[in-house]
Amino acid sequence: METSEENLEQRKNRKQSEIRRYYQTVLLTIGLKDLFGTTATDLRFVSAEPKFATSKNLSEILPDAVFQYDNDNHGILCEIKTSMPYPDYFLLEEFRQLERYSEDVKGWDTSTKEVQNHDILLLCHVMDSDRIVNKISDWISKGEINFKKQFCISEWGTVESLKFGERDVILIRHKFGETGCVSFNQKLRENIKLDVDGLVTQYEECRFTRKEPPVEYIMVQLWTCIFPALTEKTEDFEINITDLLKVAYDYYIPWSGIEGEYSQIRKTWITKAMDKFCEISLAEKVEDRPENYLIYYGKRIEKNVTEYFVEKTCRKDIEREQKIGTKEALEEAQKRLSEFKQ
Amino acid sequence: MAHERLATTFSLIINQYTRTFLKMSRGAIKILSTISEVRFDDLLDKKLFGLENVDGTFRKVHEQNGSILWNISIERKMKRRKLEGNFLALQSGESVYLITGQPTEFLNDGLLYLAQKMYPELITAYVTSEEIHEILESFSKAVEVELFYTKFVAKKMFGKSATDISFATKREPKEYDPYTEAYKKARSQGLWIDAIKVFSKSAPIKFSIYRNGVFKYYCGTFETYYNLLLSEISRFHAQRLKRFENRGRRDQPKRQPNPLLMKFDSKVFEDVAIRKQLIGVIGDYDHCSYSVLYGGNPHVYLSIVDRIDNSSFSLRTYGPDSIVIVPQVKSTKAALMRFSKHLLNNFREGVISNFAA
Repeated sequence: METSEENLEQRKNRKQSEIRRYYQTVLLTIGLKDLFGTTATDLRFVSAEPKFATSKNLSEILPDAVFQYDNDNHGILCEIKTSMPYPDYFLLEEFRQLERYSEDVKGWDTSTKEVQNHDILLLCHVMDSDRIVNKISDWISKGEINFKKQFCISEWGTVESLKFGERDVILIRHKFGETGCVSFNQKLRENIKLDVDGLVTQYEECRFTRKEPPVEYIMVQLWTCIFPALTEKTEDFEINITDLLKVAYDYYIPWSGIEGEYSQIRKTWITKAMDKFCEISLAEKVEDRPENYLIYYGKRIEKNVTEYFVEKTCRKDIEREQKIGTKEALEEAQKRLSEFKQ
Repeated sequence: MAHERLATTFSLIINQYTRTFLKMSRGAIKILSTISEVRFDDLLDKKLFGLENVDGTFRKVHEQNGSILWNISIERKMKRRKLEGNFLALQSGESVYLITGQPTEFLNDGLLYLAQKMYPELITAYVTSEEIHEILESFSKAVEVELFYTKFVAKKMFGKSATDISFATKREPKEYDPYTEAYKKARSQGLWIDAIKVFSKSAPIKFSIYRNGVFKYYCGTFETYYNLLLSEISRFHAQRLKRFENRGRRDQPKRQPNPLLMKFDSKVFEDVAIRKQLIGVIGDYDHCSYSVLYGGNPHVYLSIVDRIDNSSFSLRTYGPDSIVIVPQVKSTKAALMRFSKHLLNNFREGVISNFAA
C-alpha cells in the first residue's frame, strides 16, 4: 500500500510539473501572438482573451487563442492544453466541450462579428499527443464525437537543448487532421519554432492565460511580485483583494483582445490563492472585512517558495482526504454550511 | 558623480591622521568605499547607534567645499568578545570612505558590519576584476611608475575559496613581475582577480585592491590614493549605480519592464548542471525569498524578493552565456547592486548592460 510520504512525493511532483507546464503554456500563447501577430502571414493572431458565444443559443465559449485568415473570412478557434486527463470518461468530457466549438460562433474581429467558416485547433503537450490522437481517431470513427468543422491536433513542447542557434524554443508539430488554412498546415508540418528567448520581456507582462493556473502558481506570483509592490517592508500587513487585483491588472495582463472584455487574471483565482495562504498559515481573514487578509509576510521562508507552497498545500490536501467520512469532517462541513447560510 | 579633489587644508588634516594611523598600527590603512545619499552622521544616529549591540561617539573634524570628515569610535558587543576601534568617515558628495588604521579584524567585524547595518541607505562598492585592471593601469600611468605584484587572490566559478586561491611565491624584489602578469596567469586558468597587492620599485607606493570595495595602502599619502585611485573606484561604482537606477516598473512611463543583461565570457549555460547550480547560488543569497518557476531545462526562471527593502526582480538564463534580470514593480538600485555583487562573488563575473531582446 502506498505510504502517505510516497503519496506526498507523487503529488508534489505532479503539482510542480503542472506549474512548469502552465508557465510554458503562457510562453506558448505569447509566442503564437508574437509570431502571427506581427509578421505578415496569411494567418493572423487575433486574441488570447476573446469573448465568443454560439450563434444559436448565445452560450459562451472560451477558446485560448483565436486566429483569422483568408482576409478575415475564415477563423480558427484554438484550445491549448497543458495536460489531458487519463481516464477515458474525463477525456471524452474534454472533447465534448471542444465539440461545442463546432457551432457557428459570434465574436470574431470583423464588422459583423462573424466569419464564413471556422476550424478548430487543439494544441496539446508533446507528452499527451500520441495518446490523444489514438483516442480521438477511435472515437471519431465510432461516432462518439463529431466535429462539424475542420479539426486539427498539433503537439507543443520545449526542446531540451540549445541546439537551434543557441536559442531556447518551443516546437509546434502537426499530429492529426487539417485546418482550412493551407499555408498554416504547411507551417505545422514543417514544425513551427517559437523563439522563447525572444519572449523574455513579454512574459514579464503577461503571466497568465485565460486558463486557470495551479493555485500555487498564483501564490508564487502574489508572494514574489504582487505583495512586494504593496508594502515597503517585509513584515505582516493587511491587504484587500481589490488592491491585489489592481496591481495584477496594472502590471501583469496587457493582452489586447478584440474588445478587451476579459482580463486574464480573475478575482476568483486570487481569492482562492489567498484562502490557500490562510490554509497553510501564511495569512488570516480579517474579521468583519470579508475581502481583507492579514498576510504573514514577515515569515521567512528559507527555501524555494514554490517548493514550500507545493509541499504545504499537498500536505493539507492529504490531510483533508484522510478526514473524509470522519466525524471531524462532518462537523467541519456543517460549520461551513451554517456560515454559508448566515 | 566622480568626486572632486580634496582642498589643501582637508588633505593636510587627513594625511596627518592617516600617517598617525600608519605609525600606530605598523600595518595598513584600510579604506572601505561606499555610497550614500544621506549624510553619514545622520546614518550613524539612525541606523547604527540605535542597535542594541553597538555603541559609539563621533565628532566632526572638518568641513570644506561639500566634503565632511568625521572621527568615530565604536564599540560592538559580539558573542564572546567586544570589538572596539575608531575610524574616519570622509563624505564627498555621495561617496563615503570609511578609513581606519585598526587591524583587519576591525575592518571585517567593524566597518563591513557597520556598512551592512546601514544598507540600503549606505551601499558598499564593488569593482570587477577588469575594472581593477583599468584602475591599476590609469594609476600607473598617472604616477609614471611601473607596478609589480607581490600576491594575488583569484577565484573561479561559484566563488570557491581555498583551493582556488593562488599566491605568488615571495622572491627578491627584482624578480617580481608586473601586475599585468598576474592577469595573464589568472585569465589563462579562467580565473578572476579577486584581490591584488602591488608596489613600485622606485616610489613609496604599495597597496592592495579588492573586488569587494576594500582598499589598503601600506605607504604613501592618502591624498595620492584619494585623487588617483579611490576616485576611480568611486567612478565605477557611480556608473554601476546609475545603470541600476529607476529600473522598477512603477518608475517607467508605461510601467514596462526595464531589464538588465549580464553577459559572461563563456557559454556556461550549455551545461545543464551549471544552470541548476545557479539556483543553488540564488538559494545562498542572504535576506531573500526566491521561487523557481522553471528549473533548468532549457532555461532557469525564478523570482527573487530582497527582504531588506522588498525589491523584487526575476532572473532568467538567456542563451548559453547570459542571464536577464528583470526588475519588477519596485526595484531599488541598492538591491540590484547587492544582488549583482552576490553573483559576482558566488557565480562568476559578467558584464552588465541594458537588455534589448
